[in-house]
Amino acid sequence: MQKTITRIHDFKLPTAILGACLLEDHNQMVAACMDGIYRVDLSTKSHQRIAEHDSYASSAVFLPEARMFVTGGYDGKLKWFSAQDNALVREQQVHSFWSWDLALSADGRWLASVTGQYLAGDYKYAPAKETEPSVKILDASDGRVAYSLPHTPSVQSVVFSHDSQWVAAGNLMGQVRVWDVATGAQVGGFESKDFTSWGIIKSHCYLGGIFAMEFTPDNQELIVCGMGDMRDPMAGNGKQLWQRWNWKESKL
Amino acid sequence: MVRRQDCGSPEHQAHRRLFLQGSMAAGVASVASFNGLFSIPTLAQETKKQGKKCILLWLCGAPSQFETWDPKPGTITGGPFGSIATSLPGIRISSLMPRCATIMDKLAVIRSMSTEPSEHFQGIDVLTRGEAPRPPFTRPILGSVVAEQLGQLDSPVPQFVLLDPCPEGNEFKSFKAGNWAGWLGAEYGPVRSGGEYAIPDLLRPESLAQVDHEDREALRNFLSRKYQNEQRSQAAAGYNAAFDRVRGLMSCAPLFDLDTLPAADRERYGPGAFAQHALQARHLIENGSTFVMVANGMPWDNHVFQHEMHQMLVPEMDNVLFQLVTDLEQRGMLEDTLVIAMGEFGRTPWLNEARGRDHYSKAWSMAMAGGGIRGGVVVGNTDPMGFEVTENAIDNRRLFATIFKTLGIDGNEQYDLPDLPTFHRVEGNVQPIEELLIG
Repeated sequence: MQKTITRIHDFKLPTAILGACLLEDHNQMVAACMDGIYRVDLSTKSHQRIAEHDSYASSAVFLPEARMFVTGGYDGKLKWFSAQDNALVREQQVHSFWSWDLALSADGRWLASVTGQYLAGDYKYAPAKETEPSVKILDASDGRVAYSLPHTPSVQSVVFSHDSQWVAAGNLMGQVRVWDVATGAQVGGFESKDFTSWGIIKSHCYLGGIFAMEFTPDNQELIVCGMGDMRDPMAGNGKQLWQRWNWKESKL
Repeated sequence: MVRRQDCGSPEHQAHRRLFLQGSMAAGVASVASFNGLFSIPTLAQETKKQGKKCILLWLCGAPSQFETWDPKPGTITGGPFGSIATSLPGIRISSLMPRCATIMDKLAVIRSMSTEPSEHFQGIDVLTRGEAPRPPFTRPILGSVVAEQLGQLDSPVPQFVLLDPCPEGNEFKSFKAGNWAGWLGAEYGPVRSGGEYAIPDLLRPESLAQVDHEDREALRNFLSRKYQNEQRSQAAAGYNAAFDRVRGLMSCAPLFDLDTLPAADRERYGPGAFAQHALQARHLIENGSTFVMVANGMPWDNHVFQHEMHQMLVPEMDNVLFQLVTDLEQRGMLEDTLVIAMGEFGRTPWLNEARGRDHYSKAWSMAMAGGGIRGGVVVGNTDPMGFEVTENAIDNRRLFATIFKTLGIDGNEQYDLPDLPTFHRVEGNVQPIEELLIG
């Protein structure tokens, strides 16, 4: 199956967009930006800053049944807003560090938010172990935490399978773990060392990791993306890299 | 103290000849001896008795002032991290530095550093030597000056140690390959250790008995000194100096072995190379070194993902500075040991497209503690967005005048060669930052 992507909108917001979601009619967008949360009318190309986090807003998802959108932020909070009037409905401190990414299950029932601060863990700066659960699965309707799941910081991306059965989270070190949403049990995982660079030239530390993921339509494989290897991470000269993994047959 | 020198010694005349021929390469200068350039002033002799020492936490690559000492939370330039209150009323620093926040009464922070170079090599040059180059003479790096002025030359422990495990470092690598001791001569250059630069073969092989080792050295020493004296051989003298240095290093080999440090101390400082070497720096200072420079390549140059890197680098630096200052105070050494934490400049208020901060030398921050520096002082200020210094701009000269003053080294020392420009230890007759000096 070949899909063609065509650009139909092109506009800028005042600061960088770290995450976004389309609302019900697909003519409205919520953008999580470095200076707050923007509501964008794609048809008129107008935007309005409607709210903020105590730090960068990092992600946004739309709950169609509840007609709400939820944003995550580098303040570690999730915020629920009414899609009708942008009113704040609920605010919840989920992590003590950043919410790097936020995902909504396809059935609209679950939210997953990932966190983790990269701190020195050894002489050569492998990441230290987590100080709080890196992955949280929440009931999207009321914010109740269903599962707190372990991973190695920093956990930078999260995604649900299309049947809402699995949730996968990827980190700085290119490690992906997959859990069963119904039980919280880890059911798979893999490690790709191609996304993470240990600085040889300027710095002895790590940069990169898995920035985004998506299950294939049959949920059997995961497509992961990030920056390819760099001898000098500070130069930012890594090439865009995509990989496809059979997560059920891989081990972590 | 101003002292004009015009020694006219044969050695200096030789250097003058080279100067006039324009042929004094850096390598030549690095091994040439210019011991007579600055005499040791009375003030420094007095300080030597007091045992002033210095640890430079060299944050190479240039840390962001916004994520350290001069946070601007809630502004477009401020970045994602907040600020926290400190032990100084009204003073807030980055939320990434909770440990230093508790000892701000012991720290001196300059928020108004404003310097010229905004490229690494030139910035490193100016912020480690105190002045831009005046070729062909190479100004000695701070550590070499302190080692020469305050060091114990008869000590087996190296007086100037560089702890840096990173063999690369981009511009810092180039800088490291250059001439550090400048006109002071190579004997005031650093002994380098750390990581891959662990000093090998410092221990006598077990197969060689101590008495045999001493006999061999006595024979080698007798023959080479005889040759040196009879032939007036500079080369033999150089070899003998090298052997003396190796013998000194062998006698203090455990100082360079991280594994000899207490496990509890190693855990307190943190696992990273920079933290471990900061602890080693304290150990070296306790055991006779005069100046230890701790670096880890050039990790602060975060043109890409500034906040993703600073979230790791700043907490490590925060803990290291806290542990060092606390340890030195508990050991009664803080009064005589100056701790400096700085890079070669700061970082831009704005983010680039890679969410990094680029080089910025117009308004940046650094910190010091101990060694006669008054704690609980914040010098200068910047505008609400951090673009400009708004109060009490401090350049490299005033910073070095302050460092030398507090270490008891005369910043106004000068040296004249006939027909050549006059050099001063700190050029421009600038004054130290008085509010930072105790007594």
